[in-house]
Amino acid sequence: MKPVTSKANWISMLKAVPVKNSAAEIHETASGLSVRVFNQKNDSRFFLLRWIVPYRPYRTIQLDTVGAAIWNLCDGKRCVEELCDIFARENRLSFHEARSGLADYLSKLIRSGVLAISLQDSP
Amino acid sequence: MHLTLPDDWEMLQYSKNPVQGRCAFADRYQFRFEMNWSDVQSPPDMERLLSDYAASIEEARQPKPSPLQSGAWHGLSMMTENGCCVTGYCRYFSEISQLLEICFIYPSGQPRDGSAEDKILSSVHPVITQADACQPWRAFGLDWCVSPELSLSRCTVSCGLAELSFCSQNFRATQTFSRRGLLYLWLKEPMEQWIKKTIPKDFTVISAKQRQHHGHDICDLLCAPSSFAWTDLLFGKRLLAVSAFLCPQEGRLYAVTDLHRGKKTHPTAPRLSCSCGISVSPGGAQ
Repeated sequence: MKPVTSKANWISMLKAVPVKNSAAEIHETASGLSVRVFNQKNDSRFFLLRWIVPYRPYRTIQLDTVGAAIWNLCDGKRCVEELCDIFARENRLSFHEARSGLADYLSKLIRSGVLAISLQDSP
Repeated sequence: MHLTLPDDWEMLQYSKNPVQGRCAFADRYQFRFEMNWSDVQSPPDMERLLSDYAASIEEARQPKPSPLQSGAWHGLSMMTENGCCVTGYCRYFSEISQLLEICFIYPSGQPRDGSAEDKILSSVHPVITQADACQPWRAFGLDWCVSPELSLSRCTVSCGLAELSFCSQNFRATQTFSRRGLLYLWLKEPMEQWIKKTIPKDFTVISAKQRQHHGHDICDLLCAPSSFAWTDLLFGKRLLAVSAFLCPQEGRLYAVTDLHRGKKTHPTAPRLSCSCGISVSPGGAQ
């Protein structure tokens, strides 16, 4: 009779605030947005390697319609829960449908350096 | 089994096994409700079941659970190591020979709500359908009826997609029910063209109809195998019926398919409904 799921919660994830990479450059494209994220300053110790493999100071990430909508919603104040509410309302999804979709998308954007996440203390 | 839960609790975990399994519902922050079922041929000794469980909790050096009763449900209330109140109830339903265990999980620091538990527990009752009647199903916001000889074989739930397939024991009949959202992202052509693309390659459309019903665009297709197969001679010719419709209120696409061999043994067709109450059967069958 002991529940299997009693310890599982995602409050800290919902209360986290996605923040845009302020150094990123935005360009509007026909299919959405193009975000140019600058790579970290190159290390002079690797000059030999850089001579063989050309160094690219930035990388470009293409955001589709959903990605562009999420990017525009991230104002550094709205938490993931608020984003889920807006995304669910605009796309007629249930809260958890929106949460699962957004969580995947946000993690991709965070990994690519487009967004950072600011974790809040859970209540 | 029928039960009524708060509107904001969604099913996030489920088993497909009708003999023994569990499902779990969550509010937006955490899991709140679990249901375990298992087929048991004779009524178990409830007092023994609860006392054994209470003893196992005490052995684990956790606070002693207190007994609870809500109608025919026997239960225990306990505190978990992370300070959550958890209540568990069990009841045997002789009509369907099933033992049901229900757990309510409260957020840390929130006290038990006995009246809400009573309300939910009193709503639990088995749904007994006649052997030859369609099985009514409701899950993930979909309402549908499936032929009685079929059982759940596949379930896919993701952002904007809920799809459930049922098949017969010999895998010769399959029914699939789906609902798709986020249409602006993927539906770039008329619905009829899209639904034709979903037809398996070994089938050819033999009839296609389009109709309107209460503002819903409905598309019905009937398909037959495009080439001869010996299995069709042995087990009967395959027939595929598909219906899809766009719900203008929800902005979502509903689709139901029915694949069977030869003459249908069951007269009632599967049915899928949207939240407006419009329902369709594959191939336009009434």
